Amino acid sequence: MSGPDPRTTSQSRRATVDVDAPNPVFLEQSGYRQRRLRDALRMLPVFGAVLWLLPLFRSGPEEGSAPGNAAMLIYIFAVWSSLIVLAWFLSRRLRFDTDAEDRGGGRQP
Amino acid sequence: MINFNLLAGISLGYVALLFLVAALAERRALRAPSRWLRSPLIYTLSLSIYCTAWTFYGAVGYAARSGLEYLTIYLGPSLVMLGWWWILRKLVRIGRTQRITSIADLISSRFGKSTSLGVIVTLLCVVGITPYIALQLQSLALSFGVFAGAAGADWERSDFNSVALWAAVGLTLFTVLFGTRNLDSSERHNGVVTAIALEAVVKLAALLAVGIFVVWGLGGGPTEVMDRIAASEIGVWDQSAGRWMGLTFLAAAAFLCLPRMFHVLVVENSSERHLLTASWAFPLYVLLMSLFVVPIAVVGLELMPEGANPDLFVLTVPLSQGQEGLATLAFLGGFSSATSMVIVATIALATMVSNHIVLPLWLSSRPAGGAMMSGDVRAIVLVARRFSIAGVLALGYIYYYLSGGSGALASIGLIAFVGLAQILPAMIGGIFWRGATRTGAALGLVLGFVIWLWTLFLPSFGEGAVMSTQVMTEGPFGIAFLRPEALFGTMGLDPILHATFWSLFLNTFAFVVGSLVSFPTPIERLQGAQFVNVFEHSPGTPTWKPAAGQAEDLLIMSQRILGANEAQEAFERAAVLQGKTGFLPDVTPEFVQSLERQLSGSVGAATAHAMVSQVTEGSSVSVQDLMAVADEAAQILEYSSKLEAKSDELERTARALSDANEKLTALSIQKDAFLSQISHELRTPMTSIRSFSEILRDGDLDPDAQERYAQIIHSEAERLTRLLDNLLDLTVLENGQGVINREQGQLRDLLDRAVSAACGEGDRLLIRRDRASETLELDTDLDRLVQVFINLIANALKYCDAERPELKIQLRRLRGAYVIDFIDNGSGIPSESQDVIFEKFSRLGDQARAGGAGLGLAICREVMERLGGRIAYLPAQGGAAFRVWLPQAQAMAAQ
Repeated sequence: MSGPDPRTTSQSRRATVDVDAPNPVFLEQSGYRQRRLRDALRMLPVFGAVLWLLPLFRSGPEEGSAPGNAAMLIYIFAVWSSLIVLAWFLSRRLRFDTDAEDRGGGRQP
Repeated sequence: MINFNLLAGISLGYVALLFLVAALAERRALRAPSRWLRSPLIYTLSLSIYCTAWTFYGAVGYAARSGLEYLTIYLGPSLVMLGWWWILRKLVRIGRTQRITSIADLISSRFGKSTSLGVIVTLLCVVGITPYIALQLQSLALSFGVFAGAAGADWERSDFNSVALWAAVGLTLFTVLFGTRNLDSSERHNGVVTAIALEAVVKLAALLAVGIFVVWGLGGGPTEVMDRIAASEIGVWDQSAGRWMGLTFLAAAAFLCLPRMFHVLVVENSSERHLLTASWAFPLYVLLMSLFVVPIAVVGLELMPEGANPDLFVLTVPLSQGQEGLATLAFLGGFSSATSMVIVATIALATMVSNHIVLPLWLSSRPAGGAMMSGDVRAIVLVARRFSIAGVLALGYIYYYLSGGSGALASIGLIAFVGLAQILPAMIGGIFWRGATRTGAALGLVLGFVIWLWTLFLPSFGEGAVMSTQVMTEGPFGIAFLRPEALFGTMGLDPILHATFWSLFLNTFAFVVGSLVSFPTPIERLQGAQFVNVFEHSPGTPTWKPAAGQAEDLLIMSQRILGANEAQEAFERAAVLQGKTGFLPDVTPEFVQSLERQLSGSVGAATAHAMVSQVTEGSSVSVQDLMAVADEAAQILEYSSKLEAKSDELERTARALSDANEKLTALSIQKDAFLSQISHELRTPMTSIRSFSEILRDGDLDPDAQERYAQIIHSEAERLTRLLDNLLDLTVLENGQGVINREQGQLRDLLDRAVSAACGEGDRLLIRRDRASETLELDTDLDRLVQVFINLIANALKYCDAERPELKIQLRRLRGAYVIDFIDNGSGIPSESQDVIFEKFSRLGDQARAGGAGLGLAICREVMERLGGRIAYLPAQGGAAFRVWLPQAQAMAAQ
């Protein structure tokens, strides 16, 4: 009873080491979500570009297969609107001031 | 029908409203930094200057001609905004931490504050944007012309020109007034930005209103309009894949590189958070701007007569339906698009021209170290900027005037995009690749610029205008390889795509290769690290500091430097000057400037600037500041090392002085000793002369004694005379006086003379000579030389203490010089005395025997030195030995 329990001491020491590590392997949930939000933000323009290039595959010399501009207009504006809504959603959820990950050089769990 | 005067009145009223809004915003910003003025909404709306008159009017025309391709102009920027996390966030952070004032400044700063790069980018922008400004003036003139035409007037070319001219003058006035009112270090213009936000609302509202009128008023609802689109001549999707991708990319690149876009995106940005809102709000804005373009085009094509200009459908369709109010609104929308673009583009260009061309020229034209007060430079910058604004607008008008407002202008929008996109490789490479160097950037920019000029810009004036038809079809000097629209034999490409591909490909290639093979300067490498790793070097999102907090921080800092009382007094004075009480004045530019000046007295200008701006700007110290601080530190170091050197010198001088003092003291002691020696030497014979002459005077002496005493008196008087002669001789020699009588003679004869003079008839001393070897022709003062020999022989005669004294005299040749050694067989001179024997009155041993005053050797030394020779004691020869170096020149002459 007089001495400290050796198990607790070693555990607490290990915990300290984990916190001090520059790139912790495990993040608490909110931090993890933030990083995934940023990933989504990065991928958004990529998917947008691909979706906007898709109509090009539809234009062909074959007769009758070419879609009308009216349909294309709707498609392009639909993609556009979805991207805007997604961007709006992401911007609402993103915590701007947690940019510590930039120091990690992109190594993320 | 609305008449021209009413329309002019409406536009003047609208301009007056803009002036009012700008003025109010400026005043509000000065009083208290308002949250509203710097809100994300205003930021997003200010980005709308991307939509110029070209897109406001031209998009409908574009759609009427080429279907959906006009969308690419909006899709590219939307993608950039949606992907703000990639590029814009970094650009904005760099812009804030490095205090970037323009895109030319960005490129120049990244590559080590290169003046030449700044000039290249500025020139590129001026060449690319001037026609673009001309295009806006043209659209203004055309839209006025539409109303004039509707009222029945048929406009001449000169009418259009005068409208464009007045528009240019008015825009110059507005831009000078609000663009150069104050010279904020951050280059932010609250008034202009607010006015532009208002214009953004007007043009969106105008286009939406026309669109709604067309869809519901004329088209019969969305479904009906969709059917009409499908049935129209632009109803089929036959888009060229290359142009679709190429133009989307081009628009995205231009969105980043256009000087006006860079200005509102980066320079006018007050918080990175605004990007968060703009990331979805700006795509929404351009979506709304392009929503009704196709319906307006389709309905316009149906309604308007054949040959009507589709570029003006936005105006002519409502007018043709008698909707004058709507048409006026549309007119104001177009007016807003044109003016806002011109204002911001002009501010951006004028900033670049004044910072990268005028100022460097002005600074280099001034003598170094001239009046470099910051107030001085401020005044120059303001004047330079005002003239640059007027100059840029004048160029735009001249371009419009010369191009004749023809169709050549219509295509200039995309052509300008390709030109400005040349900055993209250097910009993206600069912020993501640390290895990018100045050489690479300059090579890429210049090459891209030249190819753009050759393949797109010059041909755009039309065949035969700048380039002859022959060059266009056959290439320069008949080199088909270099044909402007088929470079390296790439025929069949669309001219825009052809120019985009070749210019950007070769630009990037030159940039990469140039960077790989060149080596950056230290400041380039520093700047490169600062730019590429900007998120590691700079603090996170900026925190808005209220003015009082800044003043307090400044006071805390100044107290540390100036001392508490002085700092408080200075602050109180400033507060009183501003009409406030207490210790905390408003942080106005004037106050900051005066404080900086005050502090620089204590810590140096660069340090003071860095410290003050750290508090007022909240930004980190830039590399330039650090370099300046280092320079100052180096100067201080140099100064202190100079001081150190000076104090060393002083110490040396002091030491030399004290040495001289010691020498003088020693000399004075010597002089005293000399005088006492002289008086002693003179007194001894004088005493005997006096006493013997007294005895003689008293009489009573036998003749023998009388004669003996008279003899003594005589010899003592002789001794006295000799002594005085010697002294006189020595004085003359020591002072370098006395004439040298140059004569020629044989050494053997001289020695003969000396021996007979010294020894007389008696041969107590045995002289050993080898007379045969003593053949040496001499050319010197022979009498003096003989005197030296006599002294040396006499010395041996007097001091040699051997049983049978002998003196050996021999001539030797020693390392090219002739020496004569006089060596006797006595006991010699003890080593401790060898140093002093050449001094005056130095006598060794028995004084009586010597019978001299001890001046002989001193005289010998002086004589030899006068004659250019030398005499020294030669130790360890078994007796007293003297070596005489015969004068070199004479010995040579003897050869």
